[in-house]
Amino acid sequence: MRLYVLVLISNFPTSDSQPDTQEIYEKPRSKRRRSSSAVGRIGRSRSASPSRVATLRATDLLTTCISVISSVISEDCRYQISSIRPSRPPNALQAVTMSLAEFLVHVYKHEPRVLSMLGFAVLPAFKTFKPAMHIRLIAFFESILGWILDHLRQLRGTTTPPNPESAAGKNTHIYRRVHS
Amino acid sequence: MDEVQEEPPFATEGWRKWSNAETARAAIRSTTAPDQDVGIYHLSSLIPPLVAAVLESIDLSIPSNPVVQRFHRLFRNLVNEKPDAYLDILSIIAYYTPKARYAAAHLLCLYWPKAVGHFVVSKSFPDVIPSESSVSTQRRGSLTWRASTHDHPYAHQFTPWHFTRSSRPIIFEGSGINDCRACLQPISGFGLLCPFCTCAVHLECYDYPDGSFFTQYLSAPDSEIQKVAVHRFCHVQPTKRDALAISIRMEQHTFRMVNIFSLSLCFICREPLWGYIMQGLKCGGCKQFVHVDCISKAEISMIPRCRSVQIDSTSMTIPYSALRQSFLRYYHNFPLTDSHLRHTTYEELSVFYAVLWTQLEVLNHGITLGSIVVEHNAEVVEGEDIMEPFELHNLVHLYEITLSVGDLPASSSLLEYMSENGLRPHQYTMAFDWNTLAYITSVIKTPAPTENPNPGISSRLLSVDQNDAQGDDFLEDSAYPFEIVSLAHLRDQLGNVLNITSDVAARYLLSHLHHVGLLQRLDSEMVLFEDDPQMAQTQCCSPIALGFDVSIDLETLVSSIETCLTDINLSVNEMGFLLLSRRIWPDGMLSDYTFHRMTKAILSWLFCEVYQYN
Repeated sequence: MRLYVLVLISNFPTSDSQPDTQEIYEKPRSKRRRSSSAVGRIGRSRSASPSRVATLRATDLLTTCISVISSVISEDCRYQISSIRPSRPPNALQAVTMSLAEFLVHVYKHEPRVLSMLGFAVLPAFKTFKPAMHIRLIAFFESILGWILDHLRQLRGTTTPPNPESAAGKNTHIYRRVHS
Repeated sequence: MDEVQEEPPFATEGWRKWSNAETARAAIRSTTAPDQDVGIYHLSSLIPPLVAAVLESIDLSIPSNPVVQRFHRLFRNLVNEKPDAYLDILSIIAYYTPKARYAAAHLLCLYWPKAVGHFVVSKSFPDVIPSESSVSTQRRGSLTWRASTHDHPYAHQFTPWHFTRSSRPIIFEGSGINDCRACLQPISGFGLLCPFCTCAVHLECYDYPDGSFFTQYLSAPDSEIQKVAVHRFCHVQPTKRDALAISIRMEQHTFRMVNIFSLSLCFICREPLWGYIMQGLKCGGCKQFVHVDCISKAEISMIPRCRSVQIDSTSMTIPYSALRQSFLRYYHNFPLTDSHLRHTTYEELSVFYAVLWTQLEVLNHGITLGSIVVEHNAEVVEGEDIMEPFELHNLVHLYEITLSVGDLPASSSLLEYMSENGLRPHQYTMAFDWNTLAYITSVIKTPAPTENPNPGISSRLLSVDQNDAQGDDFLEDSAYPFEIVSLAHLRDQLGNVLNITSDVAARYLLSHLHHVGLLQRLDSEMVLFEDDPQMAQTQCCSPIALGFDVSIDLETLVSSIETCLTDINLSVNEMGFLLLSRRIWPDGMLSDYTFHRMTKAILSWLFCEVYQYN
């Protein structure tokens, strides 16, 4: 099922399709084929019917994709790869999932609802990922939060307040300007 | 012949509002407010779960952890871009797991300490924020700014206060809100209050470390008689914990802003430091006081080096006439005569009276403690001597009589508040009643009343056009309070709702609200008003809801207090009590439902504690 969705994603049109999109989706597909032959069989059989792909709308695909990401993060990412090799580090699945999520954030950075859905999809990662991945998770949420706060600022009409640290460090207005 | 009446400097007729189109746009409602764009709800709904998820997986008390440092960076960005993030933190305290609640309480204390208050009983949260520049130093010649270390987490910020003896029966002596923390006796009249933990003390019982010092000096250059002056003061805390205790360094002095309780003289200009709060700066080395203007306008060469000046009688003594002149210069914009008083409202006069009454007390205590010595008619007034009254005494007496007569008009909002609480205008001092100040803060956050642009529209009230127009403007006309407003909006609301049309009174009242922690500037500056053309556009907020707010956030506040009191951690319990005592103190304006929930929470906590120790 997951491989099937990944194939669909690689085919549905996006306005900002990147040349490396295929590579990102190829990578997990190839890794998962080695690890799970049963799922691979399904993927191979499904890929022979492109007519079904064309009937699905992009938004449904996106929602499905986000739900798959959510499912992978909450369930599969609890585990690490047991037979570690240089090409397959212990948190390979987690890293690939995060890369996919980051890519979707980049593509849909101007759509608040999608950002919110992506955020909620990745949120369980703080429980399921190992602590070593927490920094990457926070970095991911820093980027998503940046876009969210940007949209919020536009919708609410707030102006960015002056940075309090710079004001405290300069110490100019606390007691009026001294020897300006 | 009619005398030409000079318009008093605080003219109330046709007062000029501070708001304009730009300041009106700056008024922002919280992301939990109703009837906003759906996108706002989608976007803001992620923030509390996100922060809670991170808080459950990290330990904030280990600042060296790179994950913690990265989180603080994320949180600082969040606070900078979304100034009302304190509401998201409050919802984490109210609705999430104990671990997230503890960490969220920690964050609230770190980033909004004046809104929460400080602990007194239990262990304070670790004061650890990995700031980007823990020590920033700039040098301009011999002038150096340096951010010093953190203040003690239990540090008080005492403020002069007027205490009224409660008419209610006392159940446990020494435990009332107006009882002195040192001698356990009730305080009546002048005292000191720390508004961040509700600790009250008599000035005589005030023995705060780093809050008083003695100065010995010779009474005359050729005399061998030594005199002792006692100075009582308290440092003013910064608005944010990571802003650190701001100090100004020059000529080896280290100046910090203080509240002075015994009138003292500036060591540069030798004039009194008038004012009732934040009168000036004090050097930590030589312990001299100075006006802010004196060190900002004087040449560096005019400022003596720290500890280079011998303190003698000239540092403490001022002629009576100079004292009077100095007073009249400082308070020139107060109503000085009976005719001026006819133009004031009850609220305005309450503010003026509060300021001058406190000023008189500070002067009297200064004379009693010897921090100021007045020379009058070749005699020296010091210690227990009674000074000849001058304008200050006369004005306080005049204001007191005018207020007690009860003829001055009061606003409908304040009258409603007083009637719900069974108060009479002449029976209490508005500016020193905590719940009144909270009520005022809550009221001035509401939208300004809109004027009907077309007086003839009333005949077409049932027309479709009119209804459509009303539907479009629903959010604008609704009474849902704003979360972030400009200073201009706050000032104008004081005029619209409380009839405070005098700019002087409005400034004093807003500064007072800011000083006790009910208002805060978004940029966390210590001084509310500055000499700045853009001052009216300064954005302010009142972090964390108040019991008088008519908003959804009140439910979050009540729930957070309930969950804090059910928590097993004593620090979280104390935070709940701090929020309760500073934000939802029992009042006649609160609903029975609020009373039931708060009473149940308190009694449950009591029974749990008793059960635990049995």
